[in-house]
Amino acid sequence: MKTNDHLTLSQEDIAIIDAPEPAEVLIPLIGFNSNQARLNLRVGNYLETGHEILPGLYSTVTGTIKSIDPLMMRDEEFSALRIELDEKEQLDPEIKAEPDFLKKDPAEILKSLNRANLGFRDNLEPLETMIISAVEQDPLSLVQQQIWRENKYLTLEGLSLIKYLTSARKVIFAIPQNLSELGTEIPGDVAEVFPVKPQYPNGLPEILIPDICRTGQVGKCGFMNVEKLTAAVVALKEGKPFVHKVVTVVEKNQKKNIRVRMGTLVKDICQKTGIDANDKLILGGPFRGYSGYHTIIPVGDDIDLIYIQDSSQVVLNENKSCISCGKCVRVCPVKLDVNLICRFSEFSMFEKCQELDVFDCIECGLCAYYCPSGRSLVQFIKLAKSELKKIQGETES
Amino acid sequence: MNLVVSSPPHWHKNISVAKINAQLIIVLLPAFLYAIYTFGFHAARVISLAVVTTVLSELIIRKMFKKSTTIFDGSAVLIGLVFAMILPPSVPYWLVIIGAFLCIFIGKEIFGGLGSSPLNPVLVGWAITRISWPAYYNLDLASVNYDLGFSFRYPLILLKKGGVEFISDIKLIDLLLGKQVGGIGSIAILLLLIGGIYLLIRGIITWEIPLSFAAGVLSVAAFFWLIDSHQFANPLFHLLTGNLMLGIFFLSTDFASSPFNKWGMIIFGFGCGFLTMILRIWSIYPDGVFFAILIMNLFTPLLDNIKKRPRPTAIYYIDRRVT
Repeated sequence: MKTNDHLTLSQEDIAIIDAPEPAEVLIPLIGFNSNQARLNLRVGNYLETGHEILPGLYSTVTGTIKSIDPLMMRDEEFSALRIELDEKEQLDPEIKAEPDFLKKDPAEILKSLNRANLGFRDNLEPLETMIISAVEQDPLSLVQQQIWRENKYLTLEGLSLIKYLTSARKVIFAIPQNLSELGTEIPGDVAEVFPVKPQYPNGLPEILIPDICRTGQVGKCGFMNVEKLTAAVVALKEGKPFVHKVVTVVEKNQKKNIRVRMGTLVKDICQKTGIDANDKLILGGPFRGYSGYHTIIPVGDDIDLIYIQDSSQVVLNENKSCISCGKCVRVCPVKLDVNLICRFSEFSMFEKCQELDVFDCIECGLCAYYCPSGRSLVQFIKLAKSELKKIQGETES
Repeated sequence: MNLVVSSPPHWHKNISVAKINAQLIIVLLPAFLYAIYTFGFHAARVISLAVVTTVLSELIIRKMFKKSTTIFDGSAVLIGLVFAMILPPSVPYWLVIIGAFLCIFIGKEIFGGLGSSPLNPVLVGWAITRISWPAYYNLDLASVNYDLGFSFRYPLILLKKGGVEFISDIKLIDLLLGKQVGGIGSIAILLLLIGGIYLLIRGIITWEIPLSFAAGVLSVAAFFWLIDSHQFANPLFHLLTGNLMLGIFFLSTDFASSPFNKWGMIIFGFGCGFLTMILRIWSIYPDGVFFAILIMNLFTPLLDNIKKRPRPTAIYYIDRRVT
């Protein structure tokens, strides 16, 4: 990996291949406590694919619950269902296909989409602009644009579906600039094509939305990526729930795109080349991703990239003092005074951080990437945010 | 299995303070070689003495303050080099040592080391020695024993003492090529200019301060020149004399003592240029560059307070799970 193209988003064409089914999966019970889970679930319960385990939580596999385990993920502790897969997959009978979806009531379509594990908001506010993005959010990942490349017709159908569903005045399809030839195939009455320069952080929704919308209308902009869009069309047309996730896996010197069952453990995906000691496992992009200290982490619908950083490439930075070069201020896409915020945060002057709009930070990580002193600027900002939230919680109660 | 865990980002641009300082030092080397070519042994003596003093004093002071050793980041070497470059070649050894020590001690370390100095460390050492022992800074006397085939009168003193008539036979091209008297390193105008442009291209320094500094000098000089060209000198003459080129690219752009935001930098640079010309025209000092930078350094905390409105980043996912 050359240093100068760290920020360029991936542009290759790597076909998506289906990964073999895992022997068992973990389904984290995010948003539920373990008591709730124990009341509703028993070890040995049989679950069909798409079965509603708890309100809003759907099984992604067919199988039996083996145990309810604790799971450490993203620095939080959850309970998780360990499910052993059955050989034959069975769909939950409640999931129904609705092939002519453009004639149904939008509220009903939304209901059946949510039943198919797509997790939309229950009632969509009327939107000014709806943005569908095929731009990768992080460098290295290659999921959204690849799905669009391979499913052009589904995407088109999805665009008209989303226009009908959200009753947005404008539907905008954001694509990477290098694929603008493909973009000409999209008719103007379905969606407007918006080419984006394939460079981090242009693909992040926090940056993309203000780029597209006029000021003052940013709040009335919806955002969605191509993967969810195509999954919604498949769910409506074929009655298949959203249980497969495409992830880019970057290991040592190889890069592949695989379609895995949600809930598959990272351990099973990275079995072949393997992770050695002192490597770094990064879930999500190299700029915003979370690094796990074990590999028993299930793949959820929010991870586009599994990146195994070789021990020789792991960055070990010493947190030296700021030399006030101002590079962080220059590269910040939100135009914050990063150096001041981090100095105040370092010395626990969190109120000052709030005066400098620390909550506007989107944690893109560019400041820390460029910092010549190797300061962990994003960490200081996160510290300030969490301490401020604590202080605000205390004053409210 | 032990996996490495850290907070994001997991990549870092391959850059460090030592690398930045190394580039600054490399860029100064041609001017340093030209100085040795012009002034011979004396220049080499002053430069090596200054660098050795700064490095040793930083090492000892950090030890005394019980802090980690920082000499390997190159900033002490850089301070020593730049300090030597603004001295006349004939300056006595004790003055070099005292000045270089003051640069490190009062300019840098007592404020907490690199990045914390409110004033440019080099100029702190320079200002103290310049005011305490003004005789050794007389550039006309300093080079009285040399004969290199060009005029050995300091152009700015000529201008101050005699007006435009005295400098009428000085060609601008000679000034650009370094055929003038001045500090050891500050006379190699062309080499400094090339070095400065290289730094701009490499992104080590940014364009705001150098450009607005030059604009400040040129606009004020042009203003007076247009009023009366018999009394005030050509703006280009001002740009090519004295320590201006060194000040524009290497002293005013010092990270710690200059503002970090764009408009702060532009105001800072223009202020430097404006004050330089005011001091050159009306003060008792022939060259006002360093005092101008020192005065503008004092405005840096004020200019850092220029507040920008952050860019709006509101998001509304139609996805319930993301929010």
